[in-house]
Amino acid sequence: MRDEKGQAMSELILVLPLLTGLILGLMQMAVFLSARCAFEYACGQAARQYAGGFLSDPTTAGLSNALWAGLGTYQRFFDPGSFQITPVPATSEILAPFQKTAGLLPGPLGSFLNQSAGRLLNYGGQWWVLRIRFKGLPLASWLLPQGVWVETQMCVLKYPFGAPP
Amino acid sequence: MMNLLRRSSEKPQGQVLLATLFFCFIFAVLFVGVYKSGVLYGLKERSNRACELTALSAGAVYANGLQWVRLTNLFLVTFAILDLTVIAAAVAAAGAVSFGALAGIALKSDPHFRQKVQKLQSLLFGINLSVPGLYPSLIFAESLSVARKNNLSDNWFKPGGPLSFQVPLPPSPAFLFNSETTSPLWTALVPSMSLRFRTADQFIQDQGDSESQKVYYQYQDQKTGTYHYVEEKDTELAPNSTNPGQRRVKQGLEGSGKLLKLEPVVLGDAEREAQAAAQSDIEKSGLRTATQSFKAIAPLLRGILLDVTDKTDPPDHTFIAYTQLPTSLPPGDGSPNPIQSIAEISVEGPGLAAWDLTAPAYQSRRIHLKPERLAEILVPETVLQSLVQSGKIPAVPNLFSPAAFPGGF
Repeated sequence: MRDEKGQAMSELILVLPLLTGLILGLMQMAVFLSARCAFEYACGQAARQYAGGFLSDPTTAGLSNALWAGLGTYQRFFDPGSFQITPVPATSEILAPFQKTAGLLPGPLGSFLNQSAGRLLNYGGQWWVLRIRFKGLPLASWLLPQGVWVETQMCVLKYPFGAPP
Repeated sequence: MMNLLRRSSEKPQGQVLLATLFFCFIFAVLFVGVYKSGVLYGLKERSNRACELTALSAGAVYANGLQWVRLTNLFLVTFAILDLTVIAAAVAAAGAVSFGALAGIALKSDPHFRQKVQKLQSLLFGINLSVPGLYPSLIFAESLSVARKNNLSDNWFKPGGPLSFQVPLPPSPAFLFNSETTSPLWTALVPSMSLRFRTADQFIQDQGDSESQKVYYQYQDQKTGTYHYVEEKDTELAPNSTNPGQRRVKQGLEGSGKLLKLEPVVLGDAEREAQAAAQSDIEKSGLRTATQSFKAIAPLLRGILLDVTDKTDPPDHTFIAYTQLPTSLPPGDGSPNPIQSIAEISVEGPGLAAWDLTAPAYQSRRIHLKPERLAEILVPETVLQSLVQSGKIPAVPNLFSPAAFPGGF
């Protein structure tokens, strides 16, 4: 402690926690930003598969599975239990008001018009709001005990929307 | 101040302080660098995704519209058969009269039901109209709506609502319809489905021209804008092409591998003279082939409109979306800093004829665009150049010429 080496060591011991915190914080931020980017990409891939009719299950559950698979090695940084997809259906600007009007008409006529519109304008889609919790690096999880919520939204139309013609 | 700094740096405490400051500076730079690049990467990904989803959505509406074309073509065929039935009944009722009288009765009794369907098709799909058709406008409206839902910037409508439409300059998002075959480029901004009516003379051309005239193909050099024409013998079928029958320039020749479009008729002067001489010889000898006889009535047949078909061969049903994602990133000059993206899709299917109604539906496919395509579309000079070439605005050297403003200043 009294010679120069001892002094340097004691200074290093004092600075080490701060230095470790800074390095881990930097790594945590880099991993978070990279994981968020991977999440955005996986969302896009899942939506493209939905639009192209390549999802075996074109429901929210199917999209959720495709998205999780698309995260690949980044899965370890996210909490699967926190994954939320809020779907908002009937995104067609033209079909929705038409269906609303047809719904006001009495029984058979209204349903006939509704079905006709559904057959002619056979496209439709989804508008999703997606949320997931980023857990962070296991080593540096104490830096973010609650994690960070990542949120995005996307909308796409597909054709044919209903059963294949 | 400088003296104070110098004096303090000579002491151990001052040196430690400076080293700490330097250390903090390095870490701050690292943090800011990682943060900015990470945020930008994420936004770029979001912008690209939103743009591609907008283009794919437009493709879905477009594909649905092409199914409508098939359906209306079926109506057209049905009404044409109805027309023929009415004409046949009228001719049969007239009994045995001369050929001329029969033709007169046929013309008079024609109820022209098919023309009503054609008018409807024209209005629906914007064929031979100076304004966009109803369905192309629907593609535009749905694409705009999806772009908004994907948080992309929209300057087509003021915040007041759907009635507050304005023509934005420059438009964002901008949609280009069938840009490969639309010239000048700015006209691709007008919603269109690249359709036309098939005419009766087309069948004669298909039969007769293959023997007497050479078939030429063309491609355009994207850098210079020059068109190059290639003879059929210098072409080959392009493998793995999205369009059936797509040809390309043969390997080993100039422009090898370039995808080609069919050029209807291109004749050199010598060929034209030779053909005229041959024609005159035939006429002198009094001989006329069946094809030539049909050609004589080609102008008449050209006026007979049949069903709706693709405007170009091979068909071009493409859609480009150019979008901007607004961000709050500090650009440094106080102006907004949106992220620009571009995406293209192609809508492909087996055919538009009435008998294709039960064929597989049209589907949109994403096309990977080269980055220079974005520059080509975005560079204002390109748009200005196309406007000048189209004659919509006078060229710069002619601005002060009285001829540039026929109506006077």
